[in-house]
Amino acid sequence: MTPARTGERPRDPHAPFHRAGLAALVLFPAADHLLDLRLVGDVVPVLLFAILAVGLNATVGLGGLLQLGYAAYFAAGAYAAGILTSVAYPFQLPLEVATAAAVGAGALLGALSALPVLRLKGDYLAIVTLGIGEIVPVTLRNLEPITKGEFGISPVDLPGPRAWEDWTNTTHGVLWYYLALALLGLVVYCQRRLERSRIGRAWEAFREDELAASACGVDTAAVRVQLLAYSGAVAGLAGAVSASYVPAILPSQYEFPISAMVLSLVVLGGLGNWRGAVWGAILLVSLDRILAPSLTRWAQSLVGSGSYSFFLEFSNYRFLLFGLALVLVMRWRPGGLFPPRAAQERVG
Amino acid sequence: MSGAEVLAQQLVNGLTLGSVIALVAIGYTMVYGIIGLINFAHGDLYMLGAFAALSLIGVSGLAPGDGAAATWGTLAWVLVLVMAFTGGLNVLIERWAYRPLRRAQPLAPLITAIGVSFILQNLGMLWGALPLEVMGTNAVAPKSFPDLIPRVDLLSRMGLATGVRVTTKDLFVMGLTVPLMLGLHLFVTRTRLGTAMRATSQNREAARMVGIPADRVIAVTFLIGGALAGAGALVRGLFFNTIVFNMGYGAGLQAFTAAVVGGIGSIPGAMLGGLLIGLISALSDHLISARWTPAVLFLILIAVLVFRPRGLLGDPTGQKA
Amino acid sequence: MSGPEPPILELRDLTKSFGGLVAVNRVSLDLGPGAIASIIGPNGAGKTTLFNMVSAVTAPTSGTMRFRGTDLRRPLDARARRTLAAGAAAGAAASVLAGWGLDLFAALTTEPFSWTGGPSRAAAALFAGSPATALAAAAGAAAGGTACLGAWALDRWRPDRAAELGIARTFQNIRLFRDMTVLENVLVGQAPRLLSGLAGILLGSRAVRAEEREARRRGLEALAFVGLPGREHALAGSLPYGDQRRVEIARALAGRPALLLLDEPTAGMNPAETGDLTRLIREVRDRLGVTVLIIEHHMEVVMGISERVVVLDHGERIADGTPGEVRSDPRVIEAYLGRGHGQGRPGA
Repeated sequence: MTPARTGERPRDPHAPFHRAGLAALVLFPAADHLLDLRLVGDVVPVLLFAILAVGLNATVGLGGLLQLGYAAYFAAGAYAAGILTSVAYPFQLPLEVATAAAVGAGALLGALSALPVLRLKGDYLAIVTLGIGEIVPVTLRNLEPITKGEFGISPVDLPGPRAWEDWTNTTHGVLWYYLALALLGLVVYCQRRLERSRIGRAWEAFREDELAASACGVDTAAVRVQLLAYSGAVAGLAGAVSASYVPAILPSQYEFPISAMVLSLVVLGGLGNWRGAVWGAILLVSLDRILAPSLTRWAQSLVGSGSYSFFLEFSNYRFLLFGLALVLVMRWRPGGLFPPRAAQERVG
Repeated sequence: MSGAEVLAQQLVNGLTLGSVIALVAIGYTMVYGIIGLINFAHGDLYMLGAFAALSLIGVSGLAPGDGAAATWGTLAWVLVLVMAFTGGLNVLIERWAYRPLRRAQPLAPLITAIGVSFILQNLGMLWGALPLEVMGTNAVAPKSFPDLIPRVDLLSRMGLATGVRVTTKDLFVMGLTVPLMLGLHLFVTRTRLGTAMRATSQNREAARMVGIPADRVIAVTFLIGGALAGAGALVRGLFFNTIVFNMGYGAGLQAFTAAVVGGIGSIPGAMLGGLLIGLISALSDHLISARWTPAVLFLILIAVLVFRPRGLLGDPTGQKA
Repeated sequence: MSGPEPPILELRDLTKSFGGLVAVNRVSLDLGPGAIASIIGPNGAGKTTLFNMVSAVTAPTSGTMRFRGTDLRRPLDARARRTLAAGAAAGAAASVLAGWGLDLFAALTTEPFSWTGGPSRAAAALFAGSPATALAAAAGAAAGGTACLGAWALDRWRPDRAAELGIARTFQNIRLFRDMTVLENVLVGQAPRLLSGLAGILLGSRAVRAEEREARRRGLEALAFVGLPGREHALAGSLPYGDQRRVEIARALAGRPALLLLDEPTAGMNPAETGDLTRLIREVRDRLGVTVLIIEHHMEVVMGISERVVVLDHGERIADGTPGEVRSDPRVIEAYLGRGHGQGRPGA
């Protein structure tokens, strides 16, 4: 009764689907090119949301800390990268350095925001993170000498990839697509390593029962710092990429709706399970950003745009649908659309 | 204006704003006291109340400058209908979204409340696109709320020559919020149902064991909290004369901060907290800058949660963290 | 055995009061190494409170605890905490005042001072002053605030410290990490012994893999010891009640403690299970050399395995001796029979 794989988690029955999904992601730009869909550029933000979802999933899913201000860390990364690379500032550092700084900024903000909550959990912690998520955009908006306030930072450009792009003669979107996909892969890799290590186990134990975990020797204050710093670092990474992808960085891009959107992706995909977070993000953000606009065009071509065109705009139902999904999933499928291991075993 | 007058004026503004905040804060604190839920959707319910009030006023055709009798008569039934609407909607939300989750995982109710908040906010946005004259042409733009209450400076009318303005509008806000709060206080302390509510809030299990019907008490709590939010929404519309579909989030957080500062779970705490937050906002607007006020309020919220989670009037034993 | 060995656990005048209620009142106790001792007493006698203090879950109101010669106490004493917090606050305030004072001075001296314009101009200066002074002030405030929060965060009893020193425990109402596997539970129990760093984990270094293998081996060993071989992949929450108790004991033993605190280990068990568990407890001492302190209501178990029985009543130690001595102690008989509690009497 001591096989070589003793202690491994049971195999995931959905592994083939995950592999097929991965292959589809890798081949997507080729299909896009052949079918002339011109969607590659639209998919880049989808992948960034997937990265954010994986990062937030560590805090909320593995650690059980409801983090309601995640956009703040995204903002920290974006502004760090923007300030360090944009021609509007004197630094103009290379991309690699700026990205590392963005990761550091996200992690630092995460660690700092752990300080007030070292002894809090549950709702109170959630509200403190919400507060941090509110203070950061207010600060970005008002600290004009540093952040340029409402004017935002633009343009943010990546000198390295631009040269590479000229050299390979690919279109703008494809490069970004693979960059984002590679970073998603990196984040998922880190997540898997962590999950199977003492650190990830301490996080889960902390979620399950803080008192018992601490009686086992888990430093629960350190767990809070780790969780918030780690998810902050991931958000910082996503922020660095998004900073150079969007035309300008504005404070309004990092407010509560973004935090809430990423949280919805994590909850809908399945708390505590990065696969759910990835596929949940890709599915839902694709629906929102790609399918909804085409449906809108279709509906408006059918009815014609009259005084009711507002109601035919599918993006105007975005939060209604997300909200409904959150409520229904919590009620009927608490393990998420793609339930994690634990929920599967309990059902099966 | 002298420095003292400026300060006095901010106190008046703060008290007026604070009593509206208190009305919304009561909804947070009562629900938290009874079922331990931060009802994230409460601010959006308040926003829907404002839209309902605006629509009703639009339908009634009431306009600024109508006679006092017509204005007050119409506003009275608008108030009743709005309170019934938000109270009833809150009861439905509780039944449909929160009640099934009494035994769910700890994060489920709060996440559900966030979902409900999304739904309500989106409904508010769609409401703004309805073909009503009061909604204007742009669905998502702020709506202007008719300025029905005349703004007469009372102190100068009384012959007091100061720079401080206490207007009929301020008086209107107080005249509506103070009786509502007194009524709530009497209900909670003098009636059977109110006593049952306080008992449930102190110890749910014990209350259930002595035969207090938890579901009914919870429903009544949501009804009252929702109705007060509706009243607050009407008052806010008439006082500030502008509403927008995403105002619920900010207003909700402000009210929630008030509830926490006063001591979440405590009704007098919510009233006190509302007034304090109103005053702090007014002073921060004046002394620092209105742009920084949200950050100031959140710093206060965080500091209270960290260092004194039971707030000013909270029950020292009943804190849930 | 050569002469009396120094005690492993020394409690001196340990007191805990909740508001006006004194749960534990000046209890002193020396526990020799290698003993199996029991604490008995009617409900509300302060037994679990005593356990909670020894495992650093609750803070004593007064008194001292030494474990293997080390004081168990807060990381900082009250005065050090106050000094640190006050110093940090003063430093923060000073840097803010120094930074902003310059701006303020400039703003107020450019025009004749007036009371009406003063405050708002001063406030405007605070936020619109030169970026350098604002930044310096913000950095000072942040550093001071961080130190304040750090002092606040250190102001806590650390069960994980106790676990690190070698005090392990179980709980009256079993507290397993229910959504984790049995093996994962036991791995978390080894938390103080696992040291692999973040970089090693992310890179999957040889040392980390070796540590992980060793941890799994020890975990399986602990599970075999408590009589649960082959169940390591089951979810802890899915096991039958008696097995969950065993997992909890295995988790406590996995960290190789010197002292094991068992809070009502046989509660809710049938006679056969109780017998098995009693044998297991004796083996813990005999084979692993762990000192065992038990809270128990089953008098048969207490009298059967304990070498020493301590009786608490109303938070005070009223008797202490061999099972035989305690059984015939008139105060003990009064404590149990005098009030007619249906607790079962000693020696019944």
